[in-house]
Amino acid sequence: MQYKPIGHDQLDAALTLLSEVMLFDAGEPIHLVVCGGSALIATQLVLRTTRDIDVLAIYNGKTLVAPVPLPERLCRAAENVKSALNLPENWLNNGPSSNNGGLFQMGLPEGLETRIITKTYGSMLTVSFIGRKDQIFFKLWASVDRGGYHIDDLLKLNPTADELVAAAEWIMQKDVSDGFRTVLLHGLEQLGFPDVVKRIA
Amino acid sequence: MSLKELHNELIDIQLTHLWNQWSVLGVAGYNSANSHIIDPESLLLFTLGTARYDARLYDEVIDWCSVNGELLSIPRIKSLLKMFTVKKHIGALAELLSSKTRTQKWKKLVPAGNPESPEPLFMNIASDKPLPVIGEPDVIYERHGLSRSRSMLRGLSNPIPTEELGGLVLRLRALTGVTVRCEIITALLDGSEKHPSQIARETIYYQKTVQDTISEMVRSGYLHQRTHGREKRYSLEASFRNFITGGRPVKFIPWVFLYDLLNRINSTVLIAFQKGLSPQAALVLCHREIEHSENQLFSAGYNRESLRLKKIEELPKMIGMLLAP
Repeated sequence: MQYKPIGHDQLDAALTLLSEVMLFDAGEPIHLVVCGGSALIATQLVLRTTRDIDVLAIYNGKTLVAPVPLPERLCRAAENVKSALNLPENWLNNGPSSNNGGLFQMGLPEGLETRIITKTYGSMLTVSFIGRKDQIFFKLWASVDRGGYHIDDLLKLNPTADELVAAAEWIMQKDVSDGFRTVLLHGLEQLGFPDVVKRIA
Repeated sequence: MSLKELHNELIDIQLTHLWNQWSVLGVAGYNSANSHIIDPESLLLFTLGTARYDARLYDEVIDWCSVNGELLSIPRIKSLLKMFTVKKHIGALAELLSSKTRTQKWKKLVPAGNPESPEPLFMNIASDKPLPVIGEPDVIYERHGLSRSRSMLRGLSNPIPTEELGGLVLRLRALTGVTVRCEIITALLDGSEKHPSQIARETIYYQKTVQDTISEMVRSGYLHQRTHGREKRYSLEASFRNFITGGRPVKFIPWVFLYDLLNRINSTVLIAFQKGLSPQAALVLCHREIEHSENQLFSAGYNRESLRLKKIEELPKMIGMLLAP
């Protein structure tokens, strides 16, 4: 089955519809914190499409909590919206923070919640998209770990040397192994940031 | 078309259908010839909910029950009350019939306990406001949590017509008594071969009740048993079918599931309107309800395409198609 990629307008439409379905089902409003491609699109940092919305955390009104599991009524509403808008399976997921090795569980960059950009979709759903600095942190890690389109996203964010140094130092706190450090430095070299490598080394 | 207008149109289509069905069973009204057998209990329960928007139909049906009610199955009404939220209506009807007719069977449906403060029974569809209670309120209905003007049982309804196929379940009950055997026969009258569990699902009887009864019915010779692997399937002897139907074609429709779906769609559209949702959200929510009933509708011969809506405005057409297969 051919699924529709999610662009800026589709993202707004999907999240608005999600909020409406949740309003029908009743219950408390939900506030998600989202990273990944959909956050790049919503904040217009990178113009592209995505196939899913990655939930990094849930804001419970006081603090950020792990999105594990995602609220059942949110999943149910997402399933309904999926069929209606022909979205991919798991178009709304907690992939980045689904287990102990997840971004939330490993510890988020300090001050992330002060850099988020928040949008309200109807009365039942608020979504905070992570800011540019945190995107650079996560995208550098993903570039070294998985490569592919993450590299493209990182380069499109046009990070400064200072930002990459800060990102690399944060990542090395999360994975302290020598092997990972070597891969990270090699990756930065390959990406064309020899100055950053020198500063870290 | 606003969601409120859509809701009104849906109710209008369903009220026309209900008048049609009841007139087949003897209520004075209009009807067109059709080849499907009516399920009287699901028709009654669906009507009590939907005819809140048509007080005349509601009272005609109450009157019909006072004339033909002994042919209705109380255990089946009890089972169906799990699907249709009309307990108050059935409680009031049961008490009314218990007091006005000689039969005792309705007493089983009169609930004990304290009533809630009454809510209006009849609604004006255009304004979605309650119809005013003019004159003396009906104390029986009030006891069951519903406010309305005094109901009058005129006893003017006709006995069930004996020439209509639609009333076949009731005619069989008049002949043999109110028993699951009548539903088993009507479930097989279209010439199909069914497993007892399928008949039980379609008629909302316990599987064991159907299984045990069908095993006895086989001994009559009018019912055939065929083994498919580990499964036993049953069908009716053709000459017996022809005798019952007069050779006319019969279509079995799982009315219970259809009416249950309509109730859920009516409620979905109305709540979507009350909550100010968009037509697209209403469409998503209606699809959710349709998907919930899809398996039953597929097994009744409806195809997937006929149950797919591209926009919410197509809903009346789809409902019309479901009700006039």
